Amino acid sequence: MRRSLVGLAAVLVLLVPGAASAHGNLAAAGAFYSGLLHPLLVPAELLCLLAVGLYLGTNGRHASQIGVPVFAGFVAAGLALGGLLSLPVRLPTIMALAAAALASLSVIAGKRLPHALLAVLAGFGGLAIGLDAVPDADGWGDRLLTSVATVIGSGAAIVILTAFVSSQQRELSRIGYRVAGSWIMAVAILYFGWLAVQ
Amino acid sequence: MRFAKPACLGLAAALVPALSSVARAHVGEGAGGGLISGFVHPLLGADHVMAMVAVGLWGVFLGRPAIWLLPVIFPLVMALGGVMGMVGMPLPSVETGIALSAIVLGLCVALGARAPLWLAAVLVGFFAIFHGYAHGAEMPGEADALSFALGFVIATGVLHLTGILFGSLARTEPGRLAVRAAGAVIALGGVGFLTGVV
Repeated sequence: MRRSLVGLAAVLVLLVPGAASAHGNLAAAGAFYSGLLHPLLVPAELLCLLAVGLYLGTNGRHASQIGVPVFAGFVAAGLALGGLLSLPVRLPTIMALAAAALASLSVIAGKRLPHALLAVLAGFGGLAIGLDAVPDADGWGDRLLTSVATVIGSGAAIVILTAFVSSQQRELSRIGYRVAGSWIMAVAILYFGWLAVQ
Repeated sequence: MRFAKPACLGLAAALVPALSSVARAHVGEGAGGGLISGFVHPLLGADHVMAMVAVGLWGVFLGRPAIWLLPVIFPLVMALGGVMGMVGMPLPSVETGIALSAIVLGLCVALGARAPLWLAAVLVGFFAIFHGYAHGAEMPGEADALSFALGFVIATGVLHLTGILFGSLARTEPGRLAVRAAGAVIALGGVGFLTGVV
């Protein structure tokens, strides 16, 4: 119990400086690395990634095998759509946090879900991250490189996270996932509340 | 020189809240929003720190499932309280409620109160509204609200973990006395906040 909770806290605390500097150093990292790191350094995308990873991982290995390709495919679709459409600035963030909230609610409840629902939520989360991470680089070459890197980065992160979570299914680990889910859910509630008063 | 592992963990856990300022909550704010400011917000108020640690301590005394259920309930209800604060919903005596949370939760730890799970959840959830309200009322009005929310939810969780770590000393009789003494100190601190002595 103690070890898993300390580990969870350590991971989240380590994320603090990274997320704090999101966007600040991304441009200087170059087209590929800025795309690769974008889902990990932008808070809304990171929360969505964590929540969907926890959600898929806690639903078992078979769920991950369905959800991960759907997620990565929809990240690519979101990047492509975002480049074509002119969306309201906050919409992708709202979508990412809505996906995070739904996924973390399922994690907190500890219920296994039908595969169709898993795929829909994984796809929604992926789409939100793709739309939020649309590159603003000059030139189609850099934009393409950044987009491919975002798909690789978010895909690799979700694979690692779901593999870890689905392999750690002891009672204590599942408690840690629920606590993490409650934190993500709380952040989403606060953001939506803040949005409502803007 | 060798120390028992629980003792080292307990010492480390005790030092974390000690690092926070003795200043009361919401004094010295205004340093801007963002993740770091959200993270330090609960840590800069001794009344917040004491109540959060008490939640973790009491969870240990109550055992499973309270040890994880209380830290799951608290951030969720705190987020709802935060939304109430953001929209300006009137909530009387917020600071009194926060001070009372330290008194009541501290006493529960000091007395080793074995409340039923539902009652513990209702109590912790009730006080979480006051803590959330205070944080929510001070959410930044700019675009970094999400980072601020992320920061203060993580900090709150870390304080709960600190309480759980310190509470793990209660496995031994001297440790149990130390944890109960910590509960008494928290309750006394709450009285100090309530009366304005601290």
